[in-house]
Amino acid sequence: MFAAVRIPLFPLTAQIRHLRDLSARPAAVLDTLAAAGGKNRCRILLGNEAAGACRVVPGMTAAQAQARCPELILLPRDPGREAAAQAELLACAAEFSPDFEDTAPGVITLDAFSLPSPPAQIAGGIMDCLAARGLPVRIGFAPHPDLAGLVSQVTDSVRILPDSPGEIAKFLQPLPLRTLAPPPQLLEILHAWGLRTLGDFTRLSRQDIAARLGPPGAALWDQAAGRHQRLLRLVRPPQDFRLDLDLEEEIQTLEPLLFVLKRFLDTLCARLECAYLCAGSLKLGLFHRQSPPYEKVLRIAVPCRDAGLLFRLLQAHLESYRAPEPIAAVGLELVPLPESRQQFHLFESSLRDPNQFSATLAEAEALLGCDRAGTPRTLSSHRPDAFSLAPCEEPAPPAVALPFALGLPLRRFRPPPPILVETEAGSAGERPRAIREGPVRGALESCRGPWLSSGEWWEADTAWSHREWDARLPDGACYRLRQTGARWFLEGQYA
Amino acid sequence: MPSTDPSQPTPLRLAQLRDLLGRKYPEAHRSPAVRGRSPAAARCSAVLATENLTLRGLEGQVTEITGGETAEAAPGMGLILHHLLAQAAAAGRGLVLVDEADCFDPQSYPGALCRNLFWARCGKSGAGTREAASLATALKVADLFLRDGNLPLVILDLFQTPARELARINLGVWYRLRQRTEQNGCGLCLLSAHPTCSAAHRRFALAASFALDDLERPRDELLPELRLRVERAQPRWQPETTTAAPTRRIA
Repeated sequence: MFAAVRIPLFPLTAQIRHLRDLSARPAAVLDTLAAAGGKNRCRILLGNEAAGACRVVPGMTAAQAQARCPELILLPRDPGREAAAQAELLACAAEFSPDFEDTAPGVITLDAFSLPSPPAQIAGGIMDCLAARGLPVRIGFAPHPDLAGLVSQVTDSVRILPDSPGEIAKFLQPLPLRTLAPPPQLLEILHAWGLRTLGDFTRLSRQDIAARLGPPGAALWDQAAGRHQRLLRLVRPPQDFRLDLDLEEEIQTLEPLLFVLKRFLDTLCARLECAYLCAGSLKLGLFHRQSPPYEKVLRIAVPCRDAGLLFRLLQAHLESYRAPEPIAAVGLELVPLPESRQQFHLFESSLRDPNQFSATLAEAEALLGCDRAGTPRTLSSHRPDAFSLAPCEEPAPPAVALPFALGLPLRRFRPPPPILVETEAGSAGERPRAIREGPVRGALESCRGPWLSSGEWWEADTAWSHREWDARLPDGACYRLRQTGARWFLEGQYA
Repeated sequence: MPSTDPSQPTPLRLAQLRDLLGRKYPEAHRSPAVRGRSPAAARCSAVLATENLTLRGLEGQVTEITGGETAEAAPGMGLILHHLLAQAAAAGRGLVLVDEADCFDPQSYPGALCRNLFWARCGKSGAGTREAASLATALKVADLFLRDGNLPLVILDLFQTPARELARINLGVWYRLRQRTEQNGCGLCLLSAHPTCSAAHRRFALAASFALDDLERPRDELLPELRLRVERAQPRWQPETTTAAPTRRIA
């Protein structure tokens, strides 16, 4: 059973519900929208019963209507109020059934098959709901959506059409042809044939109608016979994966903020699950009274909708965040992505759980600081210890050829400790002979150098120039010594 | 054939399966990088594989490499690190280096070896308060990645940590890390000057001596000159690897 809910005289009802003591007075709506674009004069779109009693009919100009009824109140169409009324109608429908159609302005159709309540009870609930909002409705129940629409069109309040061919035919036959709102040309032809009601029309053969009037005629015949069936174009609420909360009491500690975010994540992940989507990234917004808001996008390694995992990601990030002032509002948005699946080759060994790894990286960065964890990248410079840290990503594929390297790697002392070096005269100037003060001491067993390096001499602030020496102590340890001006430093140890 | 006990954790069984397939189809499992290497490099890999110091050999256990008799000098620690980085690059796996003293030098290693490295700098270059907490932070970070279990090996570099600080570490910390490796199948490789980890499955003492002229030699030629003395061997997955030789020259 389908239920069609119709607001009678929708453009007028949508307006006069906001105007007091207007329902009893003659009122009509001017079709200002149709006249706005062209040179046509405004004509009456529809009027209420009082206006009809004064012989004001649709299609009249405003002057003609007022000549017939001087008390007539003329209202221009208000698309804003009509849209608001339609939205209230849809909201009311959503309270009763998840499956409903936005059939036309002022008309919705509900799928009442899955509802446990009887039709009369549903109708009573809908009428009460809309009456509270100032919207009178007419409701028709029928086995087919279009038939329910017809029932709601002709009834004064509520009518239930049983699912019986005889009852359906008995209902349809006396209805005038214009009830089906056929195209004007088609209606003119049918009137020329002397047909006035649906019964007159259905008495003709469908095959003959189709032969003469084509598919539109056949479709109209099906509607007139009550055979036309279709699926509802269901209304689905817009998918919104963002939640915001304005806080009465400002948040000053992490725990209440995490509590709010956990609740947000549970709700948003449930929405994602209903939509068969996953979260590709998180957009976190923390708003303060005076300070600028803190907004951060957290990337998720593999799209997922696991609230626990996303929460750990947020928690790890927030543990290292310090707000300038208490938090007055919180916003969280999940950017949806379609779910993806990937099958690795047998010998391929990628990360077992990329999302868990992403959360672990976030925890490590929170523990160490963002500038102290990552993948090292050497810079294009000869300056000692020139490197940068890049964010850690998924491991690179196996290297085709391993690179060549010379000598022992250096264990670098950061910052390099100053040392006191005893030097002796050599062929290329002074060369170190012993380390007298510093973390290591002793006479040098052997020494090589100097290795000269300099760079950025064109910048006074960042220019550097070093003399480096490789030295070996009697215990077998090899060190790199650095001479900058007159000062000596222990750069590192070869290991 | 390794046991496939269903009660074992999934990562452990996966690692066993990979190990089995690697032994049964060595050519298919070996990466192109390893196949095309020079004889010296192959010899280096072979000798380190004898001690099972390969990426796969280190998985699922705690391995400690100490400086041995030349604890403070301990030349060769960097070569071990280079070897592990090369293993990871050849296999396309990631590594974590928890650098307690912040002494890793990226310029000493080719960039291609560092692509899969996550370097955690716990060290002393920050504020003064950070210095005292760097050891605790390093242990926390190592625990974090071992618990995560996504990367096969965590290298904890405590070589420059003072012995008195290492002695203060609660024994429970080491056993917890050992438990993590056994549960997740990850490996923990500990580099230290002196024996530190009482819960290590295996412990090697490193002995090598290099002259300044060796700084000009290819690193692949230096690696075979490392000597590893087995001080402890409690193999977890391959019981046949422990033999009695107290000192073994691996060249």
